[in-house]
Amino acid sequence: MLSEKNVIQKSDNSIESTIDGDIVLMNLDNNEYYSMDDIGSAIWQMLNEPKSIERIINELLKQYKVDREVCAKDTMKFLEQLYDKGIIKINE
Amino acid sequence: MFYKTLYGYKIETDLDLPYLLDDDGNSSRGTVYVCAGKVPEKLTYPLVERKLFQAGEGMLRVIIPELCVFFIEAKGKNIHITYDAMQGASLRDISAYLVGSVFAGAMHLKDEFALHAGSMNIGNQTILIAGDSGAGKSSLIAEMLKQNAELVTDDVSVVDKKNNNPVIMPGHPNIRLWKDAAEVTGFQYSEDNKIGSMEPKYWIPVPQNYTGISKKIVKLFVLSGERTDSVQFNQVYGFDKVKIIRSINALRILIRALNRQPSFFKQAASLADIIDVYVVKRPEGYYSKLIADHIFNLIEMNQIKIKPNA
Repeated sequence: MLSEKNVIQKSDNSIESTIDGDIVLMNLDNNEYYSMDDIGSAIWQMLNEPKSIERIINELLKQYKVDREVCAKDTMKFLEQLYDKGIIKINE
Repeated sequence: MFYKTLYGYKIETDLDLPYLLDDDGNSSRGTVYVCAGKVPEKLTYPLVERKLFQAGEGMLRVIIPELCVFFIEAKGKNIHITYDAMQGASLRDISAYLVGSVFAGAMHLKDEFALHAGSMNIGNQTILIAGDSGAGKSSLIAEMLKQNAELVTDDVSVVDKKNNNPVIMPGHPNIRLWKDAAEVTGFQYSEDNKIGSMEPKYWIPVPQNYTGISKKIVKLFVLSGERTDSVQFNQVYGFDKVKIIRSINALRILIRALNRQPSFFKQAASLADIIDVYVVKRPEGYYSKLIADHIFNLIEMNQIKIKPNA
């Protein structure tokens, strides 16, 4: 389980590309392809350097008009998926 | 010895490959050496073993039942192909497999981006046409050539980047058609150019329609095996484009066998970002002429769109 205090970053087991403005990833561990929507792409780009989840949520709140609770819930859900797939890691 | 060229490679071969162009000295990607000989019974360190092929680091063994066993090995810039013909095998059929599947396998060993697609120029733009066997790819290509499209390659498109622009490496000035496709499109076929015996295809020389030099690659059309009530052109976007390009990779199974997924992903994504991709579905029956007409319309619209204001 991730928490807002966790500092996370991209793992080095994926390669990414941008197609028609969307980010597409390939997981090098299992060769699966993933695509990300606008907000997913925005979060992914924030992870070029280690960042706390709290800070990610705050940055999203500056970019999108959305309730904090909803934003936090959706961001956590998205990051949990990436974490389960091993394409992000917690920066110890 | 014969000296030929295909996809930018020089071919030195003891097997006559009459449908390929003679080497003009400009094939700089490497040399493919083809010779008859004994091939290994099996690979010492196989990564993948299937009944009809085995893949190892930099090498492939391919079995074409009742015809030939091929051993393909990458050595630096070059490729060595040894073929061991079975008794009574037709050399013409061996040469057809060599130019088709075997060469596509060799391209994987060289980490080339090889798609199972024909390619043609319409005006100053290049399109790719892909589809499973029997989907109507060859007859569509034939219909398009009749309407003055120019052939770059008929079956496999090796895509390379030159100064950041993707280009398709030159094929050969022939198309391969089933008998009924040749008859309906009006291309002359000869028994001298027959490939296979059960359901033969025919080599049909089209030197007057051949260019071998691609222009700006703009669109990929994938003919689906799914049958619909009407002809449909469904454009796909983003992620789906990469998935479709992955599905038309020539000898897709080798991507995994040779652990080429990362480089193939980069190649596929980079092409997907600059071209439009359409999945074409059609009813049962002959629709190649209608599909060709629609493709010409789409390309023409594209050319109007990009024309600068007068």
